[in-house]
Amino acid sequence: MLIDLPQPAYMPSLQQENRLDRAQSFAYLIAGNNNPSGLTQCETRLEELYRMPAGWDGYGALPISSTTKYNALQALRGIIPHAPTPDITPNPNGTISYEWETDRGVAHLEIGQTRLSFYIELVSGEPVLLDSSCENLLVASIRIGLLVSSNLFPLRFTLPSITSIRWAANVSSAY
Amino acid sequence: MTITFKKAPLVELIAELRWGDATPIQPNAPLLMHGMGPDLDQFFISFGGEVYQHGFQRAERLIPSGLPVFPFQPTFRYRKDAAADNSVVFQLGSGLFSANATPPYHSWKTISEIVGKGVESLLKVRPQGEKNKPFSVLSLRYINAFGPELTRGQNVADFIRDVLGFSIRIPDVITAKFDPNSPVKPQIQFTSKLDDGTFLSCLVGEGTVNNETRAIMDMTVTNTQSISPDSAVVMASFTNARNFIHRIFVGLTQPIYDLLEPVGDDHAN
Repeated sequence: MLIDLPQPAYMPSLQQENRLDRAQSFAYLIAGNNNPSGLTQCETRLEELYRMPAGWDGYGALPISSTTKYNALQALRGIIPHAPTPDITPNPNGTISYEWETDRGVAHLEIGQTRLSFYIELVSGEPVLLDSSCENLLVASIRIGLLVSSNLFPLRFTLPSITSIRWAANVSSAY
Repeated sequence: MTITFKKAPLVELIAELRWGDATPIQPNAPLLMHGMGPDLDQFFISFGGEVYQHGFQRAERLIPSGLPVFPFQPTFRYRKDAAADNSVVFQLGSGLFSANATPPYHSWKTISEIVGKGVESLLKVRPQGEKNKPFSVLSLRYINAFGPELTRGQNVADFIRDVLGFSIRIPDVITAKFDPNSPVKPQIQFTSKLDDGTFLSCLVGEGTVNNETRAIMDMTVTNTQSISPDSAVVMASFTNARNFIHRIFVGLTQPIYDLLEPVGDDHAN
């Protein structure tokens, strides 16, 4: 369970979003921009969750804050190029969960206003854990996308060839 | 003796191994520091030292120094000296090893000996905490590209259907408005589990290789069962995958067998 801190007194402005350090700029190259339709579906779902009122579960659940929504969207940008779209659910403490499940195991990411918590529980093998502040969200989310993809969807994960190959039709690889 | 082809359309062979993320998360370290540090650097340097003895004397860092290393992404590439045979390179990353072979391709026997040396080197230098970890994924991928010399000038759609035997029936309601002078550019992909528990993934279609239009056939056999960190076991799994892909290739290319200029026979398979 992620214990989240109160909403910070600021919301990152567009200018702040774009002011990336060297590592973050490099991370954007790896993030890429494939599966835009998956990203759009998730954005729509996040917007629905953001609009839910306080007490949406009938037991006094906290609403999703704009900071949490922003963090969840940022995480998607790093995850979606590498992993399939997750199941998205709200939590009563105001955080958002992303989940993936296959016959190889379960992955769960919980995102709040200041921190994220991630684990993969594999059917066989050691669990994978990651706990981080949201300051380096893009780098963290790329790692998470790669970990989800390689551990739970190994047939989707392909290493690029060193030979320059381009397909005539714009269809993403099935494995 | 195993059959080989003088005019093989192979443009790249990728033998790949993956294992648990090589950079466990340190709870109190800033996230940007993950994937950096002496253990991982030592791993890359030690591997370079091992493969140096096999003639791989050049190491190229693919990710700028000081930036985080992401899991399962190639970080270093090792190749032979420019003057020597440069057709196989090794790539190493956090939780990743690959051997990429490009033309001139001689035979699996030749390539597998080099891949075997890479695997043995990897097993020697993996960090202490993961030395005995099994490999979680093993895959062998063959990318073949058929140019005009093998398609006899047929367009790619016809070659894929009439020669390789992959056919798609497009409903009339779709083709009704197609320009009859513009051939369809097909792309067929499928994945299936094989009876030994491995998976075959296949992607066939039109594309460009080094900017030249080709009919591309990209086949991968992936073993997702836990694989013991033993070079004999790993190489046996690679060889099984190769034999399966080879049988498919020989079967599919029967109509252009003469153009491929086969050498030897296939009794060993």
